[in-house]
Amino acid sequence: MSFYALGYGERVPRTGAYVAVGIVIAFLLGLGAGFLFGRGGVVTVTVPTTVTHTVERTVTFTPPIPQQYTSPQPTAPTTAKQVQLLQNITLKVAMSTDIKALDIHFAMGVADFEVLGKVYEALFKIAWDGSKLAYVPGLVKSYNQLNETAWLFILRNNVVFHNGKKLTAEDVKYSLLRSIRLSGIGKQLLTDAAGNPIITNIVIANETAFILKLSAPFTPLFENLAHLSTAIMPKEIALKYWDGPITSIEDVIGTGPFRLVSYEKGAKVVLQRFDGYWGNRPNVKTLEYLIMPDASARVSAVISGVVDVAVGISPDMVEALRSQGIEVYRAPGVRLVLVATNCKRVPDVRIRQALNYAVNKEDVVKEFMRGYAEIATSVASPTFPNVVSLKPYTYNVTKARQLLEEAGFVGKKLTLLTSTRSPKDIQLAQVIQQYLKSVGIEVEIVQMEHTAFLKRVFTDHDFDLAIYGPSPSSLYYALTYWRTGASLNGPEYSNPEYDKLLDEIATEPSEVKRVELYRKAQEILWRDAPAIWLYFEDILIAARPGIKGLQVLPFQMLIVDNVYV
Amino acid sequence: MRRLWINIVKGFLNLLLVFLITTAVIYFLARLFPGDTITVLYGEVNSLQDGRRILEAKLGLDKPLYIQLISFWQKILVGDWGISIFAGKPVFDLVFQRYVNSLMLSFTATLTTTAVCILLAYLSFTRRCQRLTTLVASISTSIPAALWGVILMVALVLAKVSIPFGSIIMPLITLTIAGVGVFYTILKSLIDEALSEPFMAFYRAMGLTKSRLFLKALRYALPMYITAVLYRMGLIIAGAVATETIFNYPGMGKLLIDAFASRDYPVLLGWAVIISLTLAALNITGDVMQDILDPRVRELM
Repeated sequence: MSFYALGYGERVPRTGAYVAVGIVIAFLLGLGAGFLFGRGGVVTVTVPTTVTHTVERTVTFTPPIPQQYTSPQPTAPTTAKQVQLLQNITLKVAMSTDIKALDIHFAMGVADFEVLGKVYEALFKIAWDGSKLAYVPGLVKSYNQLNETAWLFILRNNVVFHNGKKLTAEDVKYSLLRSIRLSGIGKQLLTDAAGNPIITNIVIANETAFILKLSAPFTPLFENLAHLSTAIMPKEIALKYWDGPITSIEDVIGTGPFRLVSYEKGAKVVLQRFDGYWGNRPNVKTLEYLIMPDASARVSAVISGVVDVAVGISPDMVEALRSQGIEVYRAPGVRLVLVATNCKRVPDVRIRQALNYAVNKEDVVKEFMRGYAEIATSVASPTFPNVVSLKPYTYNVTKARQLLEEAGFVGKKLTLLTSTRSPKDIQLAQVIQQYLKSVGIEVEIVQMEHTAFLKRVFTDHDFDLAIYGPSPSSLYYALTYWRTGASLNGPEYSNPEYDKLLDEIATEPSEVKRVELYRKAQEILWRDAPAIWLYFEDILIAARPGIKGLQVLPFQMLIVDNVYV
Repeated sequence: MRRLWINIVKGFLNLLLVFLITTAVIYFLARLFPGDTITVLYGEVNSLQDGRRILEAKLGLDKPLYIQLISFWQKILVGDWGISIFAGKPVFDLVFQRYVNSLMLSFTATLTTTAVCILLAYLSFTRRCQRLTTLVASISTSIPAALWGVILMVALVLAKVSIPFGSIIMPLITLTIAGVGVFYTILKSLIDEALSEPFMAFYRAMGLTKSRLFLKALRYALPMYITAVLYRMGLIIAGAVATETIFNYPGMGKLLIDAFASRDYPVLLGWAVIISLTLAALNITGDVMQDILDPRVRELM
C-alpha cells in the first residue's frame, strides 16, 4: 500500500503531468479572463490638483498669472453655527480601477489622482468655475517675481501635515527635488526640451519663504506647479523614499483634507477627514473607494445602494440609471480621444489630413457616444485658458480620396492598435475601420494588453495608428506632448517650427504676444494632424439622489468639499 | 516496505521538479510578455532613463533573467518570499490571505455543489421530477460561470436587493449553480453504472429500501466523483477569475490578474509557488482518498 499513486497505470495520471497541465490551464484561463474582464478604464495620462471655490474664499478665477499675487486669507469657521453644521457622512464611491501607487509622485491614472489628490496638495491648485479652468495659489500664500528667473514664494503659515508637523520651506524643497528625480510626470513638467531641470536651485529664506531660481524664464511655471505630481510631502518621507515609491501606508502623509487610513489591494481604499486641515473641512467624514472593474457591477452597486457614487458610467447606461431614480452628473472632460498616426510611417501630411476628413465626427459623437462627448475642434480641451477653436476637418469622402490619390496612397493597409483595457476603445476601432475602408484604406485592428500597448506605442513606436486619449493639466503641457522627442509623443511628430514656438511661449513675458504664439502653435499642430482628432469625452458620474453638492471636474475627479445629505 | 519509500522519494522529487518548472515557466512567460514593472510605474512617460535605472537596480531587475530566477529559488527555500513591488508588503502575507479566501470559496462551493448534485441524483434515482432535474442540469451546463455571475447580479438589481460585494456569498452561489450541471451528469452516469453491476441486483434481491439502495450506489460512485471534484477544487483555488472580479471577492484569481497587470513579479511567483504546491497536494489527496475509499485499489497494491 502506498500514499502515492505512482504504481498502477492508467487509472490516475502521473503527478507531474497532471499538475503541469493544471497550472497551464489555470494560467491561460487567468490570462484570458484578465483580458475579458480587464479594467474598464481609459488611457489617461495625467490629472492635476484641483479645487473649487468654497463659500468663504472669493478667489477670482481670471488672473492669468499676475506679477504679484496675494491670495485672500480664508476666514476660519469662527461661528459656532458653522461648526455645528459639520456633518459626518460616510461616502462610498465605486471606482473602475485600482490605484497603481500609494505615492503621489508615481501617480499615473485617474484613480491615483482621485484618491491621492484628496490626501496631497501642491503649491498651486486648479480651480473650476463650470466652464474654464484656472491656476490659483494652493499651499502658497503669496509670491513675488524678483527678476526674470527668480521667484519668491511665501507659504501659508497654518498648514500642517497629517502627522502634525508644520509645513516648511524645507519640505517644499525636498518634495520638488524628489518629484523631478523620480516622478515621470514631474520630470516632464519641470525639465526643458533638452532634459535639463528648469528649477536650478531652491533657496530657503526662512521657515515659510523660499526662492525658486530658474535656468531661463518659464511662463507655465505656476500651472505646472499646480499638477499633483509636484505635490508636497514631509522632508523625512521624501528622503526616506529617495530611490523608489512609497510602499507603506503610514508614510502616505500630505496636507490635504483627507488622510489615508487603509488600503486593501484590489478591493478598497479608505480615507478619513483630517481635522487639522487648514481650509474648510468637508462634511464627509469617511470616504470609501470600492474598486469594481466590472461596469455592470458599478451600476448595480449604485442602484442597489451598496455605494453612493459610481464613476466611469458608459453613455448607454445613462437612461437606465435615470429611470431608476439615480442622478447622472455630466461634466466636460479634458480627455481628448484620438487616433495617433505614426508620422514616421505616414510622413505625408496630406494622408494624415485625409484620415481626418474620412471620419464623420458628428456621427461618431451622436451614435457611438450617444451625444456624451464634444467634437474636437482644438488640440486641447476648450476648458483650458488660451485654447482656440480651429477650422474643423468636416467629413468629406471625396476630399479624403482626392488627397490620398495626390499622395499616391491608394489601396494601402494600416494597422490600428488598441488597448484591451477599455472595451469602448475596441468598439471605436471598428468604427474607424469602417470609415477608413470607405476611402479605400484597409485597417487591421490589433488588440493588446494595456502595459504592452503603452510600450509598443510610447517606447517602441511600432504602430501605424493607435487609439488613446491624453488628459493634460494645461494647454502648455498638452502642447509639449507633441514636441520632437517628447516621451509622450507616441507618433514621433516633429516640426522644428512648432518646437521653436513652444520655447518662445515659455520665455515670452508679454501676455498678449504669448496668446498669439499659443494660437500659432495650435494651428500648426492641427494642420499637421499627427492624429485623427476625434472628441472630448464627457465625464459621467452616477450618484444616489440623497447626495447633494457633489461636483465633478474635467479630470474625472470628484469634489466632495461641499457634499451634504 | 522498500517500495513504499521509493514511492515517497519519487513523489517528493516529482513535486520539486513540478515546483521548479512551474515557477520558471511563469516567470519567463511574465518577463517575456511585453511591458515591465517600470513601464507600469511610469505609464506613458518613458524618457526617464535614470529613474528607470535607479528602480531597476533597486528591484534587482537589471540582472540576467536566469540569475533572478535562481536567486528567487535560493530565497524561497529558506522561506523568504520577497516583497511586493506595489504593495510593499511581504508577498507571503498578501498571497496567504488571498489563498485562505480562495480555499474557503473552493471548499464551500464543492460542498454545496456536491450536496445539490446528490439531491438531484436522488430525485432522479427515485424517478421523481425527472424532467426538472434534466432541465436544471442542462441549463447549468450551458451557461458559463462568468455569465451566471452577471445573470445573478441583474436579477438582484431588478429585485432591489442590495448585493453583498466582497463577501463570499455571491461567488459561492455562482460557482454552485455553474458546477451543478457537470457534476450531476458525472454522478448520475456513475450511479447508472452502479445500477448495472450485479451487486446492486443482489442488494435489490435482499429487499433493501430505495434510500438504502441509493446510498450503496453512491458509495460505489464516490471514488471517481471525488477525483473529478478535486480537480475543480484546484481550479477554483488557482482562481475563479471572472466570478471574483464581478463580485469583488479577494481571491487568488484577482491576485493573479492584478499581479500580472502591474507586472508585480514577486507576487506572481508567490502565486505560482502556492498553486503548484496546492495542486500537487490535491492530487496526492485524491490518490490517498481513492486508496481508502476503493477497496479494489488497495487489493491491487
